[in-house]
Amino acid sequence: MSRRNAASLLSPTYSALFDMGRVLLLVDAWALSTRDTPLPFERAILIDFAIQNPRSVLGLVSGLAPILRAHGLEKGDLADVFANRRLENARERLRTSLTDLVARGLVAEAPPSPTVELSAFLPTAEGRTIARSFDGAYASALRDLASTVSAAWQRRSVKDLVALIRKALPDQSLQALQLSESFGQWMLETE
Amino acid sequence: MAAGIALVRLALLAPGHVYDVRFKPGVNIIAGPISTGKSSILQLIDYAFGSTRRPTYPELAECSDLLLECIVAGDVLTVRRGLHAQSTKARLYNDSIDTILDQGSEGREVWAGYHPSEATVSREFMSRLGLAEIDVKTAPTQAASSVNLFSLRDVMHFLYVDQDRIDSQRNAFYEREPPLAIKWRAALEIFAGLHDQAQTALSLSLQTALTEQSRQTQYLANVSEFLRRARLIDAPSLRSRLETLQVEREQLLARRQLAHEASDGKLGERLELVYARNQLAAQIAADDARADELARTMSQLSRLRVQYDRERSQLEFLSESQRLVGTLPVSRCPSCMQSVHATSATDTCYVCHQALPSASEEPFSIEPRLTALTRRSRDLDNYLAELRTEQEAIKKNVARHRQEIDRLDATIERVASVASVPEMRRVMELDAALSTLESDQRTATEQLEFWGQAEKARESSAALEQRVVQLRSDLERLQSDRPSRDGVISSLSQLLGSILTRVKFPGLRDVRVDARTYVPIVRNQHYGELSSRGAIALAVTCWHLAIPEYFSSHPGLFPGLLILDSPLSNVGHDGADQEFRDQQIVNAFYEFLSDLDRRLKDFQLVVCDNRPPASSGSMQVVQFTGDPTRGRAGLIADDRAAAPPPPDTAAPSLTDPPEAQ
Repeated sequence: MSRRNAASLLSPTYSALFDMGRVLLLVDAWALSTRDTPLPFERAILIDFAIQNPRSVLGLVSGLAPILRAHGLEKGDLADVFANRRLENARERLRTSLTDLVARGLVAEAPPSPTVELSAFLPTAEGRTIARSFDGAYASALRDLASTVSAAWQRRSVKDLVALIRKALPDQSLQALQLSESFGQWMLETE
Repeated sequence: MAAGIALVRLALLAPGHVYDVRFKPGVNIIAGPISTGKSSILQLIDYAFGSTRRPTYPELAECSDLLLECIVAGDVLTVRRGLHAQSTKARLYNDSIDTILDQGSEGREVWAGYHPSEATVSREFMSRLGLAEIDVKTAPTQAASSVNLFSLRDVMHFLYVDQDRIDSQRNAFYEREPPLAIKWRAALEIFAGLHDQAQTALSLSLQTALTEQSRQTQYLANVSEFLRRARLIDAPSLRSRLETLQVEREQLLARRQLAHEASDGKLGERLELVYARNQLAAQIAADDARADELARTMSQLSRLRVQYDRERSQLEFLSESQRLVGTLPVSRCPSCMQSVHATSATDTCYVCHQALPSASEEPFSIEPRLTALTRRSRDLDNYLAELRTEQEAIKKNVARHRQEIDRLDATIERVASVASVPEMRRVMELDAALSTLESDQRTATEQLEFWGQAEKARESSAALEQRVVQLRSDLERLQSDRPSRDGVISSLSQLLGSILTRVKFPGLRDVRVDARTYVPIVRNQHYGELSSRGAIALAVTCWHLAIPEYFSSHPGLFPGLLILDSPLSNVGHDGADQEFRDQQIVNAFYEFLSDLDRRLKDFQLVVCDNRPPASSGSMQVVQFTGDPTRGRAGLIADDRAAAPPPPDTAAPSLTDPPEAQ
């Protein structure tokens, strides 16, 4: 449990700050990849899920594997086991993070076009500056992942992407078995 | 008859008196009226010779002991027996009664009757008479259990004819007592030399020897035939071969022992190598197991290490977020998106009243967590390094052990192929050679044993042949010395006829002795079927008188004594039958006795009679008058001055307690 707590940073303050940083990087990467096209909220959910669980969508994005290897993220951990559950509440968490970013003036809501009333977001100038101020390893990995996934998924329909992701997500128990046989057995027994 | 019994004196000891009856060689007539003790004298003689029936003569009540002096086979022998004692003991003396009474000889105590092992009166007499150790049947069966030793009682049953028997129609010769009849006939056969005990034994021995000889002859013939066909090596050659084989065997055993020891040594060495190899293999297995365990542990720990790295990077990212984003003031309410002034002093949204994040708030510090995480990562790295070092060492050990095993395998293979197998093969060859040699030894030993058996059989056959010759010779000698049964019967028949003629047996014709039962047949009738008791008494008496007549001219073991109680009852004036109420018969009988008295020197006849004729006076040894005023009235009376009492030193009475002696 302590391992999971440490990994997910369940403290609300930690969690909110962590998520704001990640989402800011995502919005910035999307803007860079799409030449300042606003990021629709629904698509943002999927991309954010992908950069949080890159190993779960490895087969859906062709350029993902080299990035994972480059950043030392190719080894799975227990976080991947709970990717399904994370997908369920991704919308709420993203909404909270975007709200916080908008409240701080780092991200601005911008409709994709005057005729379409969809929630879509772009980074503000300050937001771009701050996003590019992140220079840690993890920030770098998130930025690369977000750029790659954004480039790959910017033209696919959200509906298709949802179907693809749900299909690609492996069974949680089987995934746990792949991590460690003995640990996986323990999981099966207790569940 | 030097080998027989001759009565000398009968003495009855009474307080202050010794009542005597003296006997002489030849015919002894005891004369006297009835109830004077005549028959008691005969009963006392029988009692002294071991009878269990004591005389019933009333006057004997005052007498304590009976002494009977005899000459047995030429030696004086006196029997002393208590008249009132319940004891079955008697005392034997080699002295005369006078000596006993005068000098008080001690004598020796013996059993009066039968005893299986100790001295008895019978044994003493029978051994002196040459009649000891003769088995006679007691029943007409073949069973060995019905055989008894011929005894003095059996002799006395023959020699003493009491009043009950002498004129008995059916029991003069014990016909109503079969066991006694059998022994009575056996007594006659023994006296006459017809008893076939010795001949039967010899014949049986000869038959057995002949059977054995026949078997041996057949065996020897078989042996000869076998030897002819088998062409066996002779015994000396076999012995020599056996000795050679034994030497070879010992040599082989020594070589085999050496080879075995060498083989064992090689085998032991090989076993040690195999043991060492197995130990190494076990060590490798343990190392492999440990290496697997280490690999699993390191894999798990590596994942943990990845987790630590990821958490650290995330914490660093969090730190960046906190630094870059967390410090920014909000320009809109995060809950209702209403614009708020950055300089506002209020902490809540004035629209929705939700708390606003404070830009100046020092939220937290992640440094302690990073420090802790760094320490845990370092510890984990160290532990992983140790595990890796151990894994390397194990790998090196396993590799070294595998090389050692390969080397041991090669050595084991070399030892097995080069050293041990030839030694084992040598041992096996020697074992096979030893087995063959031992088989030869067994064969030679068996052949030698066969030779030994054949030699023994030859020796046994030769001894058997000698024994057969000896047995045949003994049997022939016995048969040549032995009278024939028919001859004895014929002689007895003639003598019986002659005696009956001499005593003027009325209507005498067809006289013979029955060849089976030996009883007299007169007038072609069984003696019991004769017309009167007088006729029966006379026939029975004459039959008994024929016996000494026979043995006077034939060799035999007859003891030379006959005791007849009132042979002429119912004859003469006592006769109930007119035919036998003839005094001439009595006279003729006594003339015959007188003739016997003159002729037969080694024969003693004791006869009692109420009224013997006057002509028999010289033969009368006792004449009881029945009248105390005239001579000797009876047995317990004396016509002379009373004999002097026994001296104090006289032999004690058998009825007295020993302490009183």
